[in-house]
Amino acid sequence: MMRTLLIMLVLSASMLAQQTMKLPSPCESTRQVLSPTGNRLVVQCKDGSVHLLDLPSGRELRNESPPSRVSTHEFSRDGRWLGLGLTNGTVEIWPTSENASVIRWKAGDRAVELLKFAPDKQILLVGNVSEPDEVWDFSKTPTRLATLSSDFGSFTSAAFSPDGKMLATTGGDTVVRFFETAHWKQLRENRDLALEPFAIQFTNDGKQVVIGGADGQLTLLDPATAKTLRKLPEEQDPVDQLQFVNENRVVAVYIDVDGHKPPHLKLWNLDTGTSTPIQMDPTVTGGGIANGKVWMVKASSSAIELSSGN
Amino acid sequence: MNVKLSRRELLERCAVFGAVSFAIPASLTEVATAWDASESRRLTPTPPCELGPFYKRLAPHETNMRTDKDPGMPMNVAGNVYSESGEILPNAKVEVWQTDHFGHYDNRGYRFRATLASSQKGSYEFESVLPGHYPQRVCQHVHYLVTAPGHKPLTTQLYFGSDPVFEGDPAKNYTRDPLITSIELVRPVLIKGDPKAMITAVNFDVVLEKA
Repeated sequence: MMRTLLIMLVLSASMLAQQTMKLPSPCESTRQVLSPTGNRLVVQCKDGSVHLLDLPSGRELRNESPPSRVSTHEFSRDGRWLGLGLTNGTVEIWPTSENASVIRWKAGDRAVELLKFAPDKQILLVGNVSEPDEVWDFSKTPTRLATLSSDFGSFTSAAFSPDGKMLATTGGDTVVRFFETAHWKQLRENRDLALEPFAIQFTNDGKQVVIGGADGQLTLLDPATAKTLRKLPEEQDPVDQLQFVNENRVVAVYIDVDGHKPPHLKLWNLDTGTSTPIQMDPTVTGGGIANGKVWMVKASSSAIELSSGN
Repeated sequence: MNVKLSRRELLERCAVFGAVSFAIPASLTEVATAWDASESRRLTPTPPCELGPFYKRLAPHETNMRTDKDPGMPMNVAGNVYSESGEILPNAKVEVWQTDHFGHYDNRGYRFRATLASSQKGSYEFESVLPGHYPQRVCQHVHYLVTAPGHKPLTTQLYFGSDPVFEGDPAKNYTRDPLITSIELVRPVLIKGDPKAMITAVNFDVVLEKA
């Protein structure tokens, strides 16, 4: 649920060398997400339609109105695929190139809350609300490869290691789990957390994972042992999202526990354990991190503006 | 040929062929009647609702979450834990958590969080205050995580028929909160006690699905 309430942080890249970019808006837009390659922008609209735009031209590549509301979305790391999770349990995979067909299947009866693409493969982790998460192969007719269990509830976040050989997950049951991706067997787990973790990321070298959650702290774990390595200083608000800027710097999105105040961002240096706040206009409706810069998106009914935040 | 047999006829046939035998001094009719009664006790599992937010492990074993100083309408919640076959489930673990009257979760500590165990009669009970509203959620609610050996863990939420969001008609308006999966989760609220010391009482039975 929490993920749906928050601003999106997205990685973009070389296409966004300029500091600002302004595009005509295809609709009254509520949310915008940039592809990791920086050349695609997905725009969700108030009328339920979803638009995929080419950047920097702003040309519309695809425009559809899914059969139910979009509950989550995720680009593959290589930017080739856009995954949409719908409230009726359907998953849609949009190729980000033109003229390719959308792949669509019903992954469950409840809203899709989590999507995560395996690197360099047509494999997707799908989490439906309060259901065990499932691994799907969509290279042909979508096929369920594995069901990944937790004590109860479903995963709150997941990350594949850079080499794709390991999947790390956080669950509503507060457990951090590590799976191998050859047979999807659980390797190890960490039960040190009392409160729910909401975000997990591998470091670029794959040697550590960083976790953020309701305890307001970044926790570093060793994927090889699942042991807690260290914790960074605690903040008042829960961490909802994490995105690496480079090897040792990670942006954390903090949310108010009860939603009384807007989210805020901090840039953490994992080497020094120190952080600096990132200024964010409260009217921002999307955003990202590209080439060491935080990008933010503001949308009106007529225009979408992307600008670097630092 | 597909013949539909009554419970009594089926038992008779099974007894003739040795498929069942009785260690109790009862006639086939009595056994069939008892079987029918047991079938009629079958309960529908409590509808699940999403877990979050802010589940916290190791909440204290405390049935009274309310102190005299806590603002808000005092609330007593009681109920029983059943299996879907209608049996009471003693020693089920019932974890509950909610906001305070102002709509704030306590993530630093364990205020308005408790771990309960159903009694030998399958009952549980706790004292609290009616939870507050907060911007991220439409309705007042109490989170439940109920676990018992041999049964699937249940994550659900209790809602209140008195919630102003429903404007007095929860059956019609419960969908105003998109997370409410079933009207069964919206419970009537009884107001009782002295007018100067009113308390709300809510009954919420829980039915667990077999694992």
